[in-house]
Amino acid sequence: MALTETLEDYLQAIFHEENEKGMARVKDVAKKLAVRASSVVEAVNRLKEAGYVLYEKGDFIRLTEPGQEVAQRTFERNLVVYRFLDQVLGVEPEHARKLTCGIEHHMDRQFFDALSALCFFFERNSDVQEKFRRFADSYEKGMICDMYATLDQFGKGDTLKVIKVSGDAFLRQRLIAMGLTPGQEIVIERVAPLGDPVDVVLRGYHLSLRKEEAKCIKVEKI
Amino acid sequence: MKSTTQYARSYRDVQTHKLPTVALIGNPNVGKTSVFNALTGSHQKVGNWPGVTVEKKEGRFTYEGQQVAMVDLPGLYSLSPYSLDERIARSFISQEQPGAVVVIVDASNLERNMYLVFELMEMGVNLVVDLNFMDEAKERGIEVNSKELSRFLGVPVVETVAFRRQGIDELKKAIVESLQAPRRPRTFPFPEKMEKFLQQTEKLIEDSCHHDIQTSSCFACGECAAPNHPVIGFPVRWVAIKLLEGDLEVNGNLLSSLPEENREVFAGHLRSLRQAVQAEYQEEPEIVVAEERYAVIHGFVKEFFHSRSTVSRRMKLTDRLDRYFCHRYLGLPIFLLLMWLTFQVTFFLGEFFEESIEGAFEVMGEAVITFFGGVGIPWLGSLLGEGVLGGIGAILVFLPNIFILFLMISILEDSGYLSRGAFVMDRLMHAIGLHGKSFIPMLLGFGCSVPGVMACRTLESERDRKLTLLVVPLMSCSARLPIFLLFTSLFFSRYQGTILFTLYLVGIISAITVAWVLRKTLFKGEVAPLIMELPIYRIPSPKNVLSESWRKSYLFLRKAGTIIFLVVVLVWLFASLPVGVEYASIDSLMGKLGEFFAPLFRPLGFGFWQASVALIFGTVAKEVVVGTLGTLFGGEAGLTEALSAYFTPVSAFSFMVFSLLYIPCVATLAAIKREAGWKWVGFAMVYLTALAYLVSLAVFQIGRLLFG
Repeated sequence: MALTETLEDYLQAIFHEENEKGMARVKDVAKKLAVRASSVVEAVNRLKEAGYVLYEKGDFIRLTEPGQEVAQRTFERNLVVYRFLDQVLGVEPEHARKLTCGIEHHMDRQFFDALSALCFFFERNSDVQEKFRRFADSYEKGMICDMYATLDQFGKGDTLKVIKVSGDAFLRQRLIAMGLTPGQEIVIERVAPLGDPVDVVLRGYHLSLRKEEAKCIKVEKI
Repeated sequence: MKSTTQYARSYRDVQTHKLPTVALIGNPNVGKTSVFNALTGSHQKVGNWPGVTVEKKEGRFTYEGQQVAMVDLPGLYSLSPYSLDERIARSFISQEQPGAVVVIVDASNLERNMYLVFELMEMGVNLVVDLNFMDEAKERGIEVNSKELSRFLGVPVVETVAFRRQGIDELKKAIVESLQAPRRPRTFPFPEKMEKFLQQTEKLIEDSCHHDIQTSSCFACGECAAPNHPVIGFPVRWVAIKLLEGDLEVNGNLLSSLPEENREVFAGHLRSLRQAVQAEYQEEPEIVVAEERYAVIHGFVKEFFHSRSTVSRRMKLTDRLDRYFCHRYLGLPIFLLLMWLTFQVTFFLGEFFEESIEGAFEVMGEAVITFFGGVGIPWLGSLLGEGVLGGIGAILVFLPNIFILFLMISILEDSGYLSRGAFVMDRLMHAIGLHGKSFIPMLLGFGCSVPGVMACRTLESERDRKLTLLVVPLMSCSARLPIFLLFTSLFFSRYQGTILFTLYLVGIISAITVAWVLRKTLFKGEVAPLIMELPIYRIPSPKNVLSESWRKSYLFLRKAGTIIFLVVVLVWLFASLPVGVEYASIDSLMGKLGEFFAPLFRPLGFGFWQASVALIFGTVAKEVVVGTLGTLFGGEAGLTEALSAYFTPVSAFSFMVFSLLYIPCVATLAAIKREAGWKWVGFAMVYLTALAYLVSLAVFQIGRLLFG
């Protein structure tokens, strides 16, 4: 039978108590989950009905084999979700723990496998991880357009479409007045001998821009 | 307004007779100067816009008995309040209310050029559109029906090829006619969505009107029926556009015209309107407005200019030339070669004339001295021969250099190469906080600081211009060379080349350091962006180039000449007074001054009055230092011996470093004054002297420790 989220939490708590102390007592489980002992007894009785634990009044709580299995699985999910939040997304540990408690109950096998793979992938590719973090940072700061590349990232001969012009008011106004409006097609004609500035063609004329300015122009390659 | 100008008199006529004024405006590189020259001929006067170093040209012409005063506005791409040039143009149009505005359009490059035209039409000014470069446009397969266009825009349209004077009479006619019967250009509707927001903004402005024309606080609402907003001076629609764009200047002016209690409400309404635009378009309002403007222009250009978009001969040539001029490996060597040529032509061709001028003045001076000596008043002979003629000579000697320099720069600029030079050099110059174009003034500084400082005009941004002209004097000019040659041959005969090279290096390193420090302190803040058009190459018109160069050289002579002349005469007086002393001897005022300053130079290793006097003379012209030392130490023969007695190699090096870095000659100061004003002359003198003192002090003290 499927367990409710609360029961899963109880199972988890019992699992941890057993692992840490070798046995799980009602008192300790209540303390761990910050609930009354009577609530624990009630939950344990329902877990017993489902066949996940063995329990007699005044005795320890013991996980049955299916109980072990379910608890183990939940624990693994918990770990993977926490790792994802903490290491990949960079969520604060305390907040990550809270979120994990919610998310772990809603995972199926497929999600679990995919998430594990993702965590593993980021662990193996720390440069990608780093890049992603930077991207996420600016994304959070509202610079949604960082999803697009900027003009300075392209080279000679590339034909691009302007998506957006950012930068301070002065710069933006300047660039727009020169015809770099969203949707405008531009071609990178050449790059200066020392790598900066670039020469682009738009609206039938040549315009040179420093990379500093080109960084403010979000583009899409055509 | 500065009054000491060539055409001061005719200009005063212009003012007293209240001639109708016409402003000339346009993008850079559209042949605006040729149009201006073709219209006004030699009736021009040049000054600066009040308070800034942006050149202001005025002129006039007569057409069928009607005199018209022309004012040339700075070249610009739009009328935002962000750059100095744009603010100058905008405030001229709003405050001086010229009778008409002529906008020059490069007919071969319409879209971007029309942007400014549309902005001007929004302003509701009495406009004349001049389609210039019609020959080039035709070659590109652009066909214009200017009659139809004129009807559509609601303003006269004239076709010209200014540098061949084609269409200039028609332009004059159109200007005079538009002055007699001013017209309001057509209002172009923005796309519907935008128009809705604009009308809401217009209503907001009109609703805040007090309907009180007497106190001119009426907001030109429909009720009061005034054509323009009385505070801003432009149509309400334009004010609305600017408010939506978030134009700080208009916004501030409008708010301060409102009664205080209404301001907050108005600002709140405006804010929510801007937010509504932002929400609708997912884009800042100012960008939306510009985008929509370009969208309208795009459709308009398609409709009125039938283009077969052929590639013209000039475009092909431009493409081919840029393949070399901007080439990855060839670009820089070609630039350096061209600079070297400019340098050579300026200084070596200049030198030829320079020597003849110097020679002529020497002969004249001697003749005058001999003459007055003969008639028994030698002091007058000395005053006229050494003081006055010396002063005039000191000015004229710069003329050939300056004229040739302006010639070369005009050619580089008008042909379109200058922006390529900036393109290839920008990376290097930007690293030390300067602009690609700063390279040219600095390079010229190695020849003479005066043309170097003057070449700073090619820089558009005021910040770049000032920064560059402040470091140009640190480039060791050719007049300092005699000092270096004298001392190195005496004290460093074995390492003469190395020491010379070191001195140049000290100058360059100082310039880089100073530029860096100034950028971090005095010129802190935004670095001017490089957003520069690379225009197509054109053959410069010899007439334009010659007349521009002559005009600029003449202006320099007039403005700087007075200062140079005064200082030269003053120095002569100091060296000759009190009456009867030997010229510049210890008994003269100059000698006393030298004696006074000498102790200051003791820590630098040359604390004797002769050195101080030589350095004071050096502010007249650096090459005078050697001559002065010669005189003070008893002529050429005694000089070698005296110098060996007074100087050690270390103090000699310290003296050379000081001469390299301290106050530049008076001509350079005069040029700085002309380009940036007295404040910067003062700043340059103080910082250069301080720098020279510190570096020389370090050189001497460390040198003494190392070499004893």
